[in-house]
Amino acid sequence: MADEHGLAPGEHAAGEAPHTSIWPFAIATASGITFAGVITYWPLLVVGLAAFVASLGGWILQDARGARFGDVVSRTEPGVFRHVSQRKLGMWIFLVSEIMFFSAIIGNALALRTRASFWPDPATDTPLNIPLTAVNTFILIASSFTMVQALKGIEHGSMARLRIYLLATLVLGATFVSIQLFEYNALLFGEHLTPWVNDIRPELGTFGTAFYMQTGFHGAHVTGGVLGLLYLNYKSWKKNWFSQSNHEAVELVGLYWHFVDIVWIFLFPIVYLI
Amino acid sequence: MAMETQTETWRGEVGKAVHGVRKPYLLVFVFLAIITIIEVQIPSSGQSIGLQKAEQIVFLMATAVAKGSLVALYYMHLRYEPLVLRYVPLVPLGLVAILVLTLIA
Repeated sequence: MADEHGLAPGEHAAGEAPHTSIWPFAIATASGITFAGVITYWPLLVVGLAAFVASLGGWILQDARGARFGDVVSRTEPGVFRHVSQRKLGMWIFLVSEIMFFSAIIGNALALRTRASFWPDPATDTPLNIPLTAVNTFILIASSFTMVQALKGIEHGSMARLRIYLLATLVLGATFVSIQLFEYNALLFGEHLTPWVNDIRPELGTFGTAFYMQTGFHGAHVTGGVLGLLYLNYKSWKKNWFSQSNHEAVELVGLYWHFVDIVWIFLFPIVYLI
Repeated sequence: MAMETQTETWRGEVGKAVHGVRKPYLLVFVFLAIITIIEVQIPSSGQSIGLQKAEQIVFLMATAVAKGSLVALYYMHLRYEPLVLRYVPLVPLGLVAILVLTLIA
């Protein structure tokens, strides 16, 4: 049965390029190699990172040459998910894997904490800057609000609202990463809190490992989100890409962005306040 | 056929159903901000208001669950999605509980 675009099931929209690309698969493979390198052999880490950057570059190049990944028409799977687009379902399945990833990270940190001989108390002897991080938490929450406002704007056909709120989200996200880098600098060189063997303040060794492991992986995810926001901003400001009927990419990047916000909502009390 | 896919705009039945529903984005944001301000006070003021360490942990985890649920339900639109999609993020929670408890034990 044809849909409102006159398309029968399985047909492409007129002028639509195929949605398939080898690069996401290459990026996933490179990520796997990178993580294997983290826990085994550092040259493998370098190879993985190089493959990751090359694959990402390949995808960006393919996009720049005009492949249209974010077109109007999206498909759904038959069955229970027939009212959910494949892309959105794919994003949610990815986020489920991310829940498992961060659960392992946080669980590991809790395991370290239960076995550590010393763990700083946030009320008395923590080296962490809680007020600064509280401000950063507020910034990330605010960025989730602006992100959802951007989606609401384009859902109502307002390109101006989409652009302004996407730009605001990008600025807030970049600010979060910048403040985290500032915090890392102060902790590494001011408080001597290191992620490796700590000769100056050995009592903080285990805490430092857990702290950088949790906040570092989260920061890397936020950085990835900032890159996604950069892409959306470029497409909306320069390419006039999105419209009321074609903005699924905004929603998908938004899902990812809100997810990293949720992770921080849990990490902030676990790492800084408990 | 099992592999056959349907073609429809992504703003299909679900998207239409969402429109016309007033979404409390600003209210959620204000709630998140207020709860965060309260959370930050807990380490320094928890003892003085009678919250022992264990109670502080329970309180902070409860507020985190409340905040995370609000973001998922309203900002990620799970509140307005088909029921089946709302269950997808719940799938790993059992595994997560086993994983965390195993690591801590």
